[in-house]
Amino acid sequence: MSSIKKLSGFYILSLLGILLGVFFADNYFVSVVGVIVGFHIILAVSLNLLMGYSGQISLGHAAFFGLGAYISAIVPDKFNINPWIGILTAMIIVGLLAYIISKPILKLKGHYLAMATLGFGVIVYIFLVQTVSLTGGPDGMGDIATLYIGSYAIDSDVKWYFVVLFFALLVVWLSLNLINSRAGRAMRAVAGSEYAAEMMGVDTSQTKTKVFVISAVFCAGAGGLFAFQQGFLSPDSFSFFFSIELVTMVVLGGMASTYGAIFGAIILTLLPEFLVVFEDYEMLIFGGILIFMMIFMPKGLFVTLADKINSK
Amino acid sequence: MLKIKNIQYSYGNIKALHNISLQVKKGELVALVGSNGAGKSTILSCISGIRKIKNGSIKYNNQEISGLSPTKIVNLKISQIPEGRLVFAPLSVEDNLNLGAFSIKKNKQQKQKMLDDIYQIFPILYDKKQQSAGMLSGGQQQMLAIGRALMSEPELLLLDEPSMGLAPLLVQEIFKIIRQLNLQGVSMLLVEQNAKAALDISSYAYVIENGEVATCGKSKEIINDEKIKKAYLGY
Repeated sequence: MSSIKKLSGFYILSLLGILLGVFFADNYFVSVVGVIVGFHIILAVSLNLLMGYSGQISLGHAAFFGLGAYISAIVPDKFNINPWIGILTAMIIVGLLAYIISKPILKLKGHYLAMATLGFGVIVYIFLVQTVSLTGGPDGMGDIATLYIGSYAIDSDVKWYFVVLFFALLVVWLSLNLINSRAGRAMRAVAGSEYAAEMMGVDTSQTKTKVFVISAVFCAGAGGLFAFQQGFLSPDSFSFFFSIELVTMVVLGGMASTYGAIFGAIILTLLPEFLVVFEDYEMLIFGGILIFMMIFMPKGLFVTLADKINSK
Repeated sequence: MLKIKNIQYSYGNIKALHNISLQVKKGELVALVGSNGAGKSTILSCISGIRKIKNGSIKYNNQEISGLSPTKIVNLKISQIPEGRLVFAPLSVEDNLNLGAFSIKKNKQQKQKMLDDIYQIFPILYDKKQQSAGMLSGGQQQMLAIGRALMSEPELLLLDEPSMGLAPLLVQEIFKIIRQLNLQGVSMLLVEQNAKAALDISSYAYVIENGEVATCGKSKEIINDEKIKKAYLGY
């Protein structure tokens, strides 16, 4: 298969993203919700590398996103350096942290791994709430500087749309290339059977650590952008519930499919927006739709649809 | 080529292997037969490094390998075909084969050549190369598992119950292929419940009973020894 054909979905996605931004720049769903969709795509695709392709669950990914956001905002403020270096610093610190905790955590499997990552997420959340002098605690942290590309300020919704779109597409592209590489095959082998993977000569614990760190670093980068885009941070954006939402995106779209994760991120971000008309019953209907989809499409929305189209 | 001396292994408090010693010479096909739970599969996983032995030594080409990681052991050209096949179900047949060559450092063309060689042995895998491995039948999965192990260009192949769950005709076919591979120079250690088939194609055999070598000898002699057959092989 040629690389153009392999990445055809990616090109269609890129084109669609750009066209939406150019022609519907004033539309609320593009410029406001679209940016959030972009962040969610980065997070879901990163989590999918770990969960879908490598078979390791994480209920604490919001923590990496949150740490990335806070470090990116605090470092430039305290040391008076370029915000981009702040984001880079955040990615490095979170990467190191992920590496350190991966050693004990990734020895666990299944439910136990879920518990451990959940614990990590809760610890980070409490840390963000308690260190008031650094993070502003539960009141949040405001007055985050504007991000510049050279001397060009990213100061409008549409500009942010294109910045986030660029990074989201970058992460999608990296992810698609990663899973089709030798390292990607190793990841999928670990997900299939660690025992058999070891027999192939795959170093399973090293593979899991690498994916965990890559996934955390992507989330931290997204967090950095999120901090500057929002201009205000509150710990509640990074709570346990957000970690669960990310897991839901991956599962809903279809595990072990990058496009599935993208699809899940889009649906799970847009759906609540459309359900607003139901007012008090919004969450009830939202939950109902999720249950319904998982019963009738257990492999995930995107994967089920793709299978249907392929079998015709 | 492979020399195992007095190895012991326990699952918790349960001793699985007591003082097992055996050897495989270059180019030989050695069978390990014996009843369920005798410890045959445990021996294989000790060799491939998945399980770490308590005592004893495992020497491969005069190098002690018992402390090495599975990755390093694969790099020494020892490859195991696991019990129950364990193909990577969601991955395509070709990706499964590529994973077999994970430890091999070669360029694309050389790897393609290796793939073509495997497809020549198992034409059915070529026809289904884009299908996910989980969609294959049991026999085809066993062929894939063998092909996957061959992709690492093994000099010693450890086969764990290749006939498990297969129809008699397929068992014959798989054993024919195993024999051919052996004739091409791959040394083998074959664990089998199907003792008769294993003794037919092997040159030397060890009968394992309760974690010990009950008896050993040339396969032809064992197969004709009524006492051994009655006592250990049950036919």
